[in-house]
Amino acid sequence: MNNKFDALKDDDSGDHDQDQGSPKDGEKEKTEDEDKEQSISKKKMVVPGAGEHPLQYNYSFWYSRRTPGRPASTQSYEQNIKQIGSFASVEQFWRFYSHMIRPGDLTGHSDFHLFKEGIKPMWEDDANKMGGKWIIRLRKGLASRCWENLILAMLGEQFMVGEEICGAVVSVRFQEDIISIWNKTASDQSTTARIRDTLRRVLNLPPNTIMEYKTHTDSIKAWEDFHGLVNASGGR
Amino acid sequence: MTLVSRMEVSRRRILQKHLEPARPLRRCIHVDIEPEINAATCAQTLMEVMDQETNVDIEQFYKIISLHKQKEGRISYTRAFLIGLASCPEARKKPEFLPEHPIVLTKARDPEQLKFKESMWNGEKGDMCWMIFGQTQCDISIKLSH
Repeated sequence: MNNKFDALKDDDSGDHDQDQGSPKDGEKEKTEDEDKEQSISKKKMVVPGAGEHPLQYNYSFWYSRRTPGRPASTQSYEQNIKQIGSFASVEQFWRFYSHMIRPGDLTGHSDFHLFKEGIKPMWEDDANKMGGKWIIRLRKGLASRCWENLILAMLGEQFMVGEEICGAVVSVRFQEDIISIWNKTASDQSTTARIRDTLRRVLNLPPNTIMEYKTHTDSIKAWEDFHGLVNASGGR
Repeated sequence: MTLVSRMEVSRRRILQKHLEPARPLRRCIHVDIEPEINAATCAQTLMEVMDQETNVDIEQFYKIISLHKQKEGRISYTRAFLIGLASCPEARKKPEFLPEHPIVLTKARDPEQLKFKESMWNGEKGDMCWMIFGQTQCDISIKLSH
């Protein structure tokens, strides 16, 4: 069981992993969060400052970390994920970015997420549910540099796939780090191919780099299968 | 067509540079936002060039224009340009709303980490080289064709 658990954990780049409560819990939290978020977005929508360089989209930084010591299955993914802030211009991006630890300096099982404002870094979000992600596994020591190149390419609209990009994730794990980029339509092969090619270019990946595309429905299924096993064995 | 006749010669020259067939259309957008070269002016030049030099039917013509408009609407920046802005004072300020969190720093990180060879991106022509200091292997330089 432990092995399977670990395999799943390692496989999942910055999304639910195993850290979610029962679906019921998840739903309840979602409603509360949505209420909260709506009131926040009513209060203020971030805009570029005078003279700043606007971005094509507004984005939000998120951070998540699996708390050690507590059984993973009692925690909710949404409880663990924290929004750091939103920005609308290049300058505002750098303000946040320069006030955050670089991913290579993170410890433990943690993730940075950078998603378009309004899209939660969750499989179930409307923008993500038909989507998927490209995954690249990195040996230790490369995460900061690759993450930077990845998000600069995203913010600078280098992918040229219209509205398709949802966000990017860097996942710090025990023996490796994983970066991934999420898009809206997993079935759109010309889009996913273009994202792959752009990734190769902006990350300067060696030709033999293994790149894996995973649909979120597959991720959800793997997660459910795993928790099904937990439940069957009387874990919860 | 009356619009075309009003166009300045100098601007036409600039625009025609963007329209050499071997170059991608997205040359029209660049790192810097150039308000004077927008979809409309590009389209006008296209119209003129097409009329004079080639026989492009109206459908093809609108196809080209719509492609231009689509690309024109995107705000895109190269990595070098974004990094160039990282050290400006506006980018070093502390965000107004920053939660207290172990991963959040009270002072901005040193932008040295982002340094790059200025000569690599001064001037817009040619390939740009993506560099990060502290790394000397050539595997970290990325050529960008623009």
